[in-house]
Amino acid sequence: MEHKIETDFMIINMGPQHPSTHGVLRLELKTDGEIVMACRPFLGYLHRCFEKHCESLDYLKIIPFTDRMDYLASMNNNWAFCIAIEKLMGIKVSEKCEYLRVIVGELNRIASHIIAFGTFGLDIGAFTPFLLAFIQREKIFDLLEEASGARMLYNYIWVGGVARDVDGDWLKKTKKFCQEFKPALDEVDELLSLNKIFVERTANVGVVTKEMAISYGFTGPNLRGSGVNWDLRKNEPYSLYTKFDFNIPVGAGEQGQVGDCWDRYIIRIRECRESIKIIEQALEGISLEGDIYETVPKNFNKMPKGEVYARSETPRGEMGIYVVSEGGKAPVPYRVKVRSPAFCSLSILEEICKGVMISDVIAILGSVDIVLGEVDR
Amino acid sequence: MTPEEIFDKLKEKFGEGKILRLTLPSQNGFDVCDPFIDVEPLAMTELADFLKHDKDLAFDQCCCISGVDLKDDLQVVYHLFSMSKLHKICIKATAKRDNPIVGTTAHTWGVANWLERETWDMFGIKFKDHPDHRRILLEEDWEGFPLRKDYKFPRFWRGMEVTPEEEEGTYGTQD
Repeated sequence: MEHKIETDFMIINMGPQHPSTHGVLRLELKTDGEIVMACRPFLGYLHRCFEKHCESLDYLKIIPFTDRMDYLASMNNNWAFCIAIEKLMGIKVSEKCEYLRVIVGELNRIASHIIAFGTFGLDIGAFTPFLLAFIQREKIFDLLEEASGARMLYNYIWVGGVARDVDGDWLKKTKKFCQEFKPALDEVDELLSLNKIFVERTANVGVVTKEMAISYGFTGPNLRGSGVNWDLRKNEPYSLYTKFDFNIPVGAGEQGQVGDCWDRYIIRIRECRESIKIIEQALEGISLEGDIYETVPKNFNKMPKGEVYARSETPRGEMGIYVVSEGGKAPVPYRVKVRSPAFCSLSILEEICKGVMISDVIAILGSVDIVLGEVDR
Repeated sequence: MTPEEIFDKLKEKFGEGKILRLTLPSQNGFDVCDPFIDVEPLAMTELADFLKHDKDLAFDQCCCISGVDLKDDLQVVYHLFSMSKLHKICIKATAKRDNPIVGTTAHTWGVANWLERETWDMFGIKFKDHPDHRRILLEEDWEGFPLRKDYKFPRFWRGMEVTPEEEEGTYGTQD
């Protein structure tokens, strides 16, 4: 008697309630043993109709909604939206406000990167760096709370200015934080970056080539991890970024191939150091004299007819805001579209998760650093 | 390349039937806008291929694909950027509201796959030859296309109340 034993593919749902999917994302994995044959992401669990809401809200009332898109980097979201509206209205923001925006924007970038590499370590199995980094994140939140009144959802950057003024004491505290943060980051770096287990799990995993990265809309740290020297703060400078001296870290495949998970991870650690450099220079340059509401428009009754697409560098990459205005007395935008960096980066998942181990899917997902609030909007 | 040069090059290659017109800021009733080119919707597939692979144009990055409801028509707006040549352009394809079909660009730019799915999901614009033409943010059995201006919010979905009775008809309007 002859028996033929056949194996079958198994469909496994990873998520939506799974800690390593960083929110509510469902991945449908078609597996052959431990190997993933196909991976299909399902989104929309956190869809809150942001773009539909915008069409019935005043321009200023939209800013709190942008907080809730990428809730880990609310300052940068506020900023991206304000840049678009300022471009539409032709507003030049006062220098003091620009300095304040740079400082809070970079502080928020560090806080966001802490989550990115902290939870990435957590996914891989390293618990301590996450806790160490969170001490620093709490300090950033204290600073931002003092400036804006809220810990996470700030509504701080307004069209034409910022919501509240800061005093000299706040600047001193920020300076003190910068000095304290550097050794703390070194500690995390030493613990995690060259840890043998961590390197084994991340080097040569989820390699994204330069061409693929550009085609699939990778931006920000993910794109730079693939070896492309591109940062909107340097290549298409907005605000005051031409004034500061800072470097753009680019992935070089130090532990494996260019564009692997380790490269995407180390870019974020190095970017934190560059952000500290920018904040220190901004603290030197800022002058506390002047009115923060100087360039804030009194009303939005005279909007020009037209459309703008403005992009800026958020911690997750390039956030583009496309605004169409009917002009005249219409107090609400006709259409707002957000080009969400995490949504675009996530679209590569189907492509690079073919033929990898299930555990590598988690490493890849962690290294791309998505926030589901921004993916689903 | 300047927008005029890009427009002339496309016109030379595809002819006036497919490349319709170029709008610069403060033209055609716009106070503020990025320079954009209106094109024939079904020509988008071959156009995208040319825009990416021509060595002078080299639009390797597709920044954004957005749908816009123009009330009479539906429009797809492409924001393109070239990382090697450092120039950008905006392309607009306007399709009829009763049967909106636009050629897909998903074979040219990987990211266009999801961005076009989102446009289908929200506006009901079909993309010809799209490799994975499904909804993305909403459920597959959702009725209607929410970002159209004439969209009515449903009272119930799969037996669940999604719009309270007293608020019916008030969503999407300025209060």
